[in-house]
This record gives sequence, C-alpha cells and structure tokens, in this order.
Amino acid sequence: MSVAMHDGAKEVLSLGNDPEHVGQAGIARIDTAWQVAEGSISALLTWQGEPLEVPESPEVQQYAQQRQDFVPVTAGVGESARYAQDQTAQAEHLAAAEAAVNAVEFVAADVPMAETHAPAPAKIIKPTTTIPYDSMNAVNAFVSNQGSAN
Amino acid sequence: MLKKLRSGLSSQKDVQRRAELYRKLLRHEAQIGGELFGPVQPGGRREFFCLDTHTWVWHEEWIDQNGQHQYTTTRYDMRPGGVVKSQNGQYRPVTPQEARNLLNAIRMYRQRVTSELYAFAA
Repeated sequence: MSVAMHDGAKEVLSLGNDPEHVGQAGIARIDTAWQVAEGSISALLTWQGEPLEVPESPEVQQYAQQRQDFVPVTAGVGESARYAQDQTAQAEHLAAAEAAVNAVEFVAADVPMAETHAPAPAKIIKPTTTIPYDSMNAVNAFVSNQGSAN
Repeated sequence: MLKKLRSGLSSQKDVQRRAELYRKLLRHEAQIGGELFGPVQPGGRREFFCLDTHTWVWHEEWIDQNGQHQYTTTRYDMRPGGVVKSQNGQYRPVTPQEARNLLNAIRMYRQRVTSELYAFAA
C-alpha cells in the first residue's frame, strides 16, 4: 500500500528511541482492541437478538491475512490478549459485565427518549465523501437508528 | 551508589520518554480517527481513538447557534458480555445500529492508523 508517511510516524522515527518497538506496540494495541471490540459488539448484538453480520471488504481481508502471524510484543498488550483468550476469566467477568449492562438499561429507562435517540439522520461516511457542516449531526448519526455505515 | 542512582534516573527518564511518546502517538491516532466521519465545522474539533485495548473514545467540540462552546465525550468500554457506553459521564444505551457503526469505525480506524501512522513498523 503506497501511502505518504504521516507526521506522527515521522515524529516517532525522528526520536530514534526504538521506533520499531513502539510502532509494533501500537499495532498490537489496535489489533487486540479490534478483536476485543468485535467480541464485545457481537455479544451485545446477540444479547439484543441481532446477530452480527458485517461483511468484510477485500482490503480488510487482505490486511487480516498480512497480520495473521503477528504476535503482540508488549507486556500490557500481551496480558490483554491472554485475557481475551482466557475463557475462565471471561466467564468470571461475564456476570459482572451483564450486571453493568443491566445497570445501563436501568439508567436509560429514566432518560427521555429524545435524549437517548438523537433524531438527525446522517451516515458514517468514508473520508472521500462529505456530510453537512454540523458536528452534532455526526455524533447523532453515530447513535441514530437511521445512521448507517458504508 | 552513584552508578545505581544514575541507572535509576536513566530508567525513570526512559519511562517518561515512552509515556510522552505514547501520548503523542495517541494524539496522532485521534487526529486520523477524527477524519473518518467527514469534515468538521470551523471552530470545531473531533477526535476518535483507541485509548487502550478495551476503550474507545469519541470527543467532539463545536460552536452552537448561540456562539457557545459545546462538547460531547463518548466513551465505549468493551466488556466480555457487551459494550458499556457513557456520554459526558452519563450512561447511555447502545443501539444495534450504533454498535455496527462503531465496529465499522473501528475497522476503518485500524486500517488507516496501521497503514499511515505505523507503516514503518508493519
């Protein structure tokens, strides 16, 4: 993939303090966060009776293939990865997590609908397209039932 | 003794340097993440980033019709059994569509940050 180097990458490289390690740690954090998010959102949708069905683009599939043999390198990320794989730990936390989600539902029940379901219909969009200059629309679109991602 | 002290200070400096670097990288990630949802109005600011492996943050600032500065910070905590969301400190429900939007945003974030910011290490 031919992409111009981001200012942040230049900054890291200019510091010369083991930039590869720092970069790999960043990738590992995001890779793990992606896996965790996919699991959590899948669990949420299953819980709400709407199983996750998000088709992956060819680019994402190719990316996943490239990253298949990647191993997290930092202790912190490693712990998170182990946590994600540790079924026992997940089982132990499940009850607490469900209680937390139920608590959210309980709080939400006291919030007026107008506040919990923002009305503005807009979309999550790719950077090449545009949306009206309305920041609140962007936030609302994200939480709106009418918003959709492409 | 002096050697130990020097070693300790060096180690402390190293930790501080790494922490500072981490903060800088997060700022750059947040900038890229903020571009996923289109343009921001003049005077506004948008950031979307992966705080850690279990937390995603969306921060939005704008000027309202009365010229007042407004902001919304949305935090998504990923739990094994679902997603807990808080907005400006208040818990909110996550709709199925929002969950899908979030997942797509995270997917795009991962693609862009990895290919643009961390390309040198991939």
